[in-house]
Amino acid sequence: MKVQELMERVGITETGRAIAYIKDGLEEMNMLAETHVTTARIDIEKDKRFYDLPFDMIKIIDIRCKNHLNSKDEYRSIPRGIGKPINKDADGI
Amino acid sequence: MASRKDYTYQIKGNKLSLLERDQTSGTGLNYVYAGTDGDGVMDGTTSGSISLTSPIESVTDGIELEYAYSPTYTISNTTGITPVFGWGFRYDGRLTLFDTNEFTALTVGSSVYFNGTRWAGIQEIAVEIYNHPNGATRSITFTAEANVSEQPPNKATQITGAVDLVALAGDTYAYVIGDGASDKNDIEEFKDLILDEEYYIHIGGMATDGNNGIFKVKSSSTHGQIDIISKATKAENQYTFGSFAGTAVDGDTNVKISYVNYAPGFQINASVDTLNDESDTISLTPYLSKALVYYVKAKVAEDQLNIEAKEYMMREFRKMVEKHESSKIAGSRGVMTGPHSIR
Repeated sequence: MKVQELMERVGITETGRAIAYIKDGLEEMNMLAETHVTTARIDIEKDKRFYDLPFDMIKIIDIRCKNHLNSKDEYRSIPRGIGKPINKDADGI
Repeated sequence: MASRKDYTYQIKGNKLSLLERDQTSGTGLNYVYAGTDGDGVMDGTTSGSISLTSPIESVTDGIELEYAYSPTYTISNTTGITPVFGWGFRYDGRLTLFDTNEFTALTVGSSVYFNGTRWAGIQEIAVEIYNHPNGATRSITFTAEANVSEQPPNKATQITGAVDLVALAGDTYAYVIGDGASDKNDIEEFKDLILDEEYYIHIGGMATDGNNGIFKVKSSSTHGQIDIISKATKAENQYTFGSFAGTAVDGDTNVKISYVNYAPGFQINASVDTLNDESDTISLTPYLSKALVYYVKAKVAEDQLNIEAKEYMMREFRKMVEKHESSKIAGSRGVMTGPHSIR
């Protein structure tokens, strides 16, 4: 469906406002049900604890790590840790 | 063969906190004994502590994130894909991309898709695209929005001043050095911020084209001097480093030196169409497009303070999205067994 068709169905004439609401709607839709899914890979760096999440990410579906509980270079889902880790990150990066 | 690892994660603000179970240390409490090969449960587990710490080893492409994103753009083709050497910050904090080659077919205000980086998604080009004929800088700057969380330590990650370039002679490296005392101080301040012994910089603004580009360098013990180890070139989208003899210059003004974070796998795609026009197509299935109509109707009703209509439209929107989700589930269901399940 084109933006114009949607505007006609809704009965709205301001394009900028319609596009803003469409973008909001697409975000809301992906919050409710993952209609558009992608993957990104990040390098693990020695002694680096914190990694930026992708800029366009709306909802995390899964986090997998290479060689997690295997030695066959497979990516497996990793669990979410509860509580604060005893070993602090010395440099905060 | 790669070694077995044990990770866990937490979310801290907009960052992913990755922790690894340190099985290499034999000290402290929580000591575990080595697993038995072939037992299927603790197979390959080394003996040691099980305390969680920051990753103890670098792994290329170690984290795979699966996530939902908002389809507010369409990538029309793959011909516009360009690898980018790396990124840094402009003096005003804007994200800047650097490459050995020119960024062609890009204009200020146009959108670009970032791939293989923390800034994955659509970014808008702001302020400048430098493709100076003599290679002054081959860089593009992006909107402040692209600068998600990382701020430059200070303006010294990019400096502008007058420098001399002393060409390669004998066994010594070619090097750049500040022309005047203040230029030397600026370079020294720039060097002080960098902890690595060897790193990458972008030099732009030299009158001689060959003296510009991306270089692997190291800080010299001489005040205001940076030694150039090699220069990057790109062929068939691969970067290689070769020796750099350089052309000697004395007092080139307005030379810009920028710190560059080398980012293998970072690509940009200029063949992108963002949702900004009535003629654009919304990237949704026909059924979900109808759900979106309800959402927009709800927002319009909300603007008119017609809350009853808004609630009705939102209910219809959610119902359609949920129906679309459940429509994809068919047949009998099987439960996946976990790694520690009883057989």
